[in-house]
Amino acid sequence: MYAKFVDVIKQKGLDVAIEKIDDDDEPVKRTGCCGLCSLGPLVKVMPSGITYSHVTVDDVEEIIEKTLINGEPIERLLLTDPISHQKVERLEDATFFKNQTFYIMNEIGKSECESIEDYMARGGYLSLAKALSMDRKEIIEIIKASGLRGRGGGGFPTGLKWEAAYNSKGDIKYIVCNADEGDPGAFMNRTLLERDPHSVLEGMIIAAYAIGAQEGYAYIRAEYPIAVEMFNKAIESAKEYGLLGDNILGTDFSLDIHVKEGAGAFVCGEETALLSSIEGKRGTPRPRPPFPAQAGLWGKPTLINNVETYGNVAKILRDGVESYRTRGVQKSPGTKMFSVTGPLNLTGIIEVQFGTTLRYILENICGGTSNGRRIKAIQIGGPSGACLPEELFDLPLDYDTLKSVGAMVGSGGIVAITDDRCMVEVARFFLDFTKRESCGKCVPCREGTMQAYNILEKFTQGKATYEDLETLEYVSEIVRTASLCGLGKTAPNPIISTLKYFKEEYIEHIEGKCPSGMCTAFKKYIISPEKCKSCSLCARSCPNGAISGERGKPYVIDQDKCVKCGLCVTKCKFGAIELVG
Amino acid sequence: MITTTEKRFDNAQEIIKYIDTLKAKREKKLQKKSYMSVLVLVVQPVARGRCMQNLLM
Repeated sequence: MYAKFVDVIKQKGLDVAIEKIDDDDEPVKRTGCCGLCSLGPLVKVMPSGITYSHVTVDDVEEIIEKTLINGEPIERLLLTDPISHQKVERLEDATFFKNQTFYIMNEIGKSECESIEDYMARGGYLSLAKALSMDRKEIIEIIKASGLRGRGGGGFPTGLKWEAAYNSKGDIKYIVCNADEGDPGAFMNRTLLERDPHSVLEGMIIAAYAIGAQEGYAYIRAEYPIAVEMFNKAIESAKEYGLLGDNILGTDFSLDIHVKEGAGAFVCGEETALLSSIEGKRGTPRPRPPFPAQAGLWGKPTLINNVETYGNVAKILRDGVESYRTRGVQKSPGTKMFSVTGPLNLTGIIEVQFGTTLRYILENICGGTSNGRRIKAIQIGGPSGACLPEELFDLPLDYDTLKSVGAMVGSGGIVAITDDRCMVEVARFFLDFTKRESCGKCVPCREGTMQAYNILEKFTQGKATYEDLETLEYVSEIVRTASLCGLGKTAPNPIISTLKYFKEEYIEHIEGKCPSGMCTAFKKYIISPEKCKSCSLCARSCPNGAISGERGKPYVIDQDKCVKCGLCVTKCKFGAIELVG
Repeated sequence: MITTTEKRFDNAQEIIKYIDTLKAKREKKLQKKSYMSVLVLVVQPVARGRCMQNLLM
């Protein structure tokens, strides 16, 4: 799309017609994703701000002719707001954006993510310049006063973490950015790194100065090639401008930052496993204490924070603690990025202040469900997060409230689950992920997640008993309490929460029924004798030889042999085969 | 890029002054000049089994 815009503009010679700031200023800019994934690709024409959704390369010429040259909107490409049902010309007027609270995402589509000068033109690196003239402890006190909490999952107070790293003695100290975002469906960190890499880098440099670190690593998963590219570019630009390297801005503070690409193991998002991976060892967690702030990378004091946490730092220093604390709630100030997925009208990355309710997000930002069904649960906090029922949708989203109902903010994944989905299957799906991602170092997690998964499979296959239900509860509790790291301790959350809020669905599975009708084990394919023409097409297509019959008589399916693949349904020309139960 | 000047800053005051210049240029551009911003949703390959949409969409 980007290339097509550049080509057409050049072909039409419009680069002469469009006013430019400088001779080398290209008329088409590359910005990061604005978060509205479900309507992409989006095209925004400035300065009018007219925005189009679901644009294809075939629309490019028309956009240039009508909107860029003549300033006219193209009605069919405008976004239809699912809440107001009105056509919206400007992205900012869509309720998806209007109802969010932007703090670290407030440069939507306005900035050129690759350019350090564009970042500086927005006030970027002013905080670093200010910080370098301050006492280190003063910076830490500001972060403590802000109440900023780690955005990676645990919500630990960032200022306290910085203070611990500052107080630790060591000839070398390290700073690490945890960008190993492994939750399925979560891409907040990726979005921030791709769209605003300098904000994260500036936060890292300030943090490194505050604790006295000389070297740093950004651990970014290799599945994020654009984020890796953007962050590497940001590092190079910062070095060119004297913002990284030796004697930063003429001070005696020197810092070098490297990018380390993670191979994709979910457990490497756990901070001690991540440190092992940077050291070139197998990414497995270490017992704590000692904490990384005391003995982290290569045994040296190490400060490790999440991408989004660093993304807040420069703004807090620039705009002040008071400004930061105007958003959010007392114990969870500020905003949080969430990635919202599921059958909703609008999905993608959002930013809301802490204290916002789930219902507000689902209805006022995402526009409700796209399939007209009722949302019966949301899963929050990644694969090891909890499933919360509809009656808890009005609770304020913050670290402490979520913890009180057995959930966690986690990294910020929100999945909407409608009433046609089976909660037992949802738990099985997430356990399938965590059991595969278990590093195997500790027995409770390695064996426990496997055992729990096997029991969940019995439920979805219609083979579970009441004894299995008790065993599932017991195993979940063992994994939660006895595992070594956060992955194991939180892995049973989908089971524990669904057992707490949706236990009746487990019981119905024992009683021989999947209430949502999702688990095929409770269903069977049958051939209607009235509709069957005895053509034998189904029998010939069945991979397991489960269908038999003879010419002139209706065919039948042997339920013991049927594997419920549904191939026969697709082959029957008379609609004689249906799924019942 | 607003400018492509290669510059290394050796003190805080120098960079603060430079940032002020860039901010002024940006304001001028936002108010007076036509430009186009294209936001393209990048679809990246992810590891098998990681796509939540498989289950829930």
